[in-house]
Amino acid sequence: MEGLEPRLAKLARNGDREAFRELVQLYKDKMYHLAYRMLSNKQEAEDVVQETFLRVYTNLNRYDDTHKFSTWIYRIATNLCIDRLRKRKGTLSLDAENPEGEGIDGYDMLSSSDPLPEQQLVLSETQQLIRDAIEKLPAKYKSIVILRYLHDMSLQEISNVLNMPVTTIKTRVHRGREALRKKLDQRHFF
Amino acid sequence: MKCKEAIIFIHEYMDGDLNEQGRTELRQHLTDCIACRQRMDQYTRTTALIRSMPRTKVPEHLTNSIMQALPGTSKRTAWTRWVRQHPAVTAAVLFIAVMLMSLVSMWDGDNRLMVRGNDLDQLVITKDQVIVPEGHTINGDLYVENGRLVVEGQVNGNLVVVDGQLNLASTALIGGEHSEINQTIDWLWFKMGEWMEAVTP
Repeated sequence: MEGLEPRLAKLARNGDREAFRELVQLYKDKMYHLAYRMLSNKQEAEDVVQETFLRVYTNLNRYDDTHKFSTWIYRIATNLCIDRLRKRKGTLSLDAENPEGEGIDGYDMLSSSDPLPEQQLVLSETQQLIRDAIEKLPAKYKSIVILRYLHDMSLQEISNVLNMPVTTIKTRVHRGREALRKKLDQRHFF
Repeated sequence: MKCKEAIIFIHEYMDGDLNEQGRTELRQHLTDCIACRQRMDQYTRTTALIRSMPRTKVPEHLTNSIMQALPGTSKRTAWTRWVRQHPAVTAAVLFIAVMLMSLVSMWDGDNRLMVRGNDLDQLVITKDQVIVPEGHTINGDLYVENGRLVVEGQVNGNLVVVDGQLNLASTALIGGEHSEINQTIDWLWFKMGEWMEAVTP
């Protein structure tokens, strides 16, 4: 029997927009969390999610349903995030979020209407610590740490998503783990 | 086992990739080495901390903005679907549209004086004026486009003036109806009436 996602993808490919909407419902949260963690910016995260689904939609005819749909969509989103990080490198902008609070960036500080108070999460000091540590990781470690620990992917799944050998993924998980440990240690977390 | 090796084992263990023998060796090293035990504890706490990170709220409008960003609006799909389901109506609508368009272009395109009818030799035709002189008789309908029709004599039929003016002198005698048409829409009705007469037996 065919799985739900390949079935929806097939329907969407034949012009069924409601089927595509279901795929959006299934994946939008995961994609948003991934993009937000990668980019630390709400607007950019939203843009990436939109772009991801747009690419999925326009490339549905190229989707090979012998592969997992999730692998495919994660690959598109991760690549878009990495591209953005690469472009952003070295440019100081409003997009750099204030390290003092979750979700407060330059845009929020400019427009008073944006964040509703109840949406502002009050983070504990340790949560801020780990958030900053992940934010400062180089993109190649960041993506892997996020996929491994925030999206609960196995090393094999990450290797499929990033199209890299498992051994490379493994090395990067180890280095990412060590880098984070070091950062927390420097901030006297332990 | 040296600490350098043990750290590799620790990572393998955390990935879930350490076999039974490796685990025994690692356990042995950890009982002897406080530094490595501490290191492993720190890794465990680090990963636990990552996993405990709160998730930001996903914007409520996200699904809609994703759907709206897709190429081709749903409106258009609904429209094409309707067309596919009603081919006859679509063909009829297209036919009428093409007809109307050609009629409109006909109406707009020609500004020359045009006269149609019987007994045209009875008429005095100038640049923009058609005169039925006094004492002359036209048997049948008279049709004038883009000009003035002055009737001083007799017409035994209908008079139609399109985009022009009809002047009836006191001496004029009209056997049938007379009308002036100066709007596209009136003219269309008139043309359609003509067609209907032609089509219906």
